[in-house]
Amino acid sequence: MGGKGWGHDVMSAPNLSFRSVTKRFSSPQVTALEEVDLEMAAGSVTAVIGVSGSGKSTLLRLAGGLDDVTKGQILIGGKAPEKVRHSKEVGWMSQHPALLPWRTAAENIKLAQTFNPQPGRAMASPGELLGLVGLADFADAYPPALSGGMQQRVSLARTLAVRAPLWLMDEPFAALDELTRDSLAEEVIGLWAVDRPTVIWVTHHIGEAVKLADEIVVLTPSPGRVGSRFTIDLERPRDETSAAFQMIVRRARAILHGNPAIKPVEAAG
Amino acid sequence: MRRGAIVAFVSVVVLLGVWEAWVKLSDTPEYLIPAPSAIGETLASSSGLLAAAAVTLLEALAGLVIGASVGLILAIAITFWGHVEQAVMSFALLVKSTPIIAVAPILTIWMGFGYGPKVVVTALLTFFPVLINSIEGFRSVDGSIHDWARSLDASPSEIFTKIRWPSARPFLFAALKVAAPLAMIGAVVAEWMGASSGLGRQMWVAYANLDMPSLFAAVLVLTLLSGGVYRLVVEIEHRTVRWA
Repeated sequence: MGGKGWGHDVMSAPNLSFRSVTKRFSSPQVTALEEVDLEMAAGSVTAVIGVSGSGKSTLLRLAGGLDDVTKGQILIGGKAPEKVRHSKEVGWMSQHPALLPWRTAAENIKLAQTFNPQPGRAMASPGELLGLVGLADFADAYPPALSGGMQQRVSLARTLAVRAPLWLMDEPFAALDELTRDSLAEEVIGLWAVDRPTVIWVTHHIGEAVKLADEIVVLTPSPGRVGSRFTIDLERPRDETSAAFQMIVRRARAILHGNPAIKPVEAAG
Repeated sequence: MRRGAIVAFVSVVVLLGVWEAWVKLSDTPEYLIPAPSAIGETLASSSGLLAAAAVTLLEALAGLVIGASVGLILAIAITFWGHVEQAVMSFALLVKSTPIIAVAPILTIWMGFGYGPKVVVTALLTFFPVLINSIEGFRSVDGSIHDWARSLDASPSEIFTKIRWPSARPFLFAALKVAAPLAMIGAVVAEWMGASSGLGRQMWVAYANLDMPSLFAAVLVLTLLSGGVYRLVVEIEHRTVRWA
């Protein structure tokens, strides 16, 4: 992965803090998140895991400034999410590739750079970005002609295209098969290491979270609260077969499935 | 494809043959059902039919362009300013529910026997499908695509031109496929209510004179024109909407 030529002019990654964040929706009336307090260090990767309905995606939308908090406050590098979005510092990737079918892979990536021009940041060309995700030969392919995994790679390249200091990833690999998921996870970590943005990575896949994250936040459902959080000190790249890795996976699984009652925040690792 | 064309051609020839033989053998009077040969003769000899077809086509296309444009502009307005939706839709439904056949004579009284009422009637008939489909089309953008664009701080006008408009193109063409043949009908109905020229006028005159070969010939020309206009829309779609 040749990220060396990107220069070092990327904006510095922000820290994030959620202060008693509550989000209620009116129709249907649901409290998606309640009193969520979180701190994320600049340049860290935080995996947010939880069952469906635990408010994972809501948390991400709030951080991206796509929705407003009902109560509480979110600060990203000291700024409100809305402001961060307006200053074009957000890289967003969802479970759906969300590519425009009438644009080629390269043109889709180009559009991100059109929406989000950053005179101060050296941008890789769509061709180079596709090379990074192993799709150098598919620049002119239209998305419907690509497999689901390939589309998601294009989507990943598009997320990288704006060199945002904040990545918000909403279950980006959820629709992919195990093999593709593993190989893409490796690539993402390699690409993350280039600019070291701050990352919130929402997933329901424990192995993926342990593989990628510095810290795992477990949300408990209805309403979504921080059930537990713990840091992962393993060296990257992480070997899924190692005993230490497996132990953390088992622990995360026990917390996720074991006790639905809210547990106090534990600092372990 | 080729085989299909041959089958279609043979079917039409057989049908016309049976029709011709039946009219001739049963001695059916021409003012009831004319033989295909008589219709053919009228088509070949009557130069007025072609000129009338040109008039009707022009009226229909002018009305279609105006109606479709109004529908499109209203849909864009609704997309950008959601609060105008109720007002626009109430008005649109009112126009849509008013029987055109009742409005056409009024327009003729107001605007005379020229192009005016035909173009207006056609526009009134065609704006609704374009309006409805365009609104649907502009809204058809996938939620995850919209989120992605917003996360990059794309402006509403950027989202419209780069995402909503291209997404709506298939919907717009679906509307035009309905609206284009409808435009021909609108023009002919308006002509029927009073016109100095056009296919509707020709039909009305032929009807008044019980000149069945001319009436059938006019209907045939109208049918072919409607089919042609439809084909034109399909052809344009094929050339512009490549990915679908």
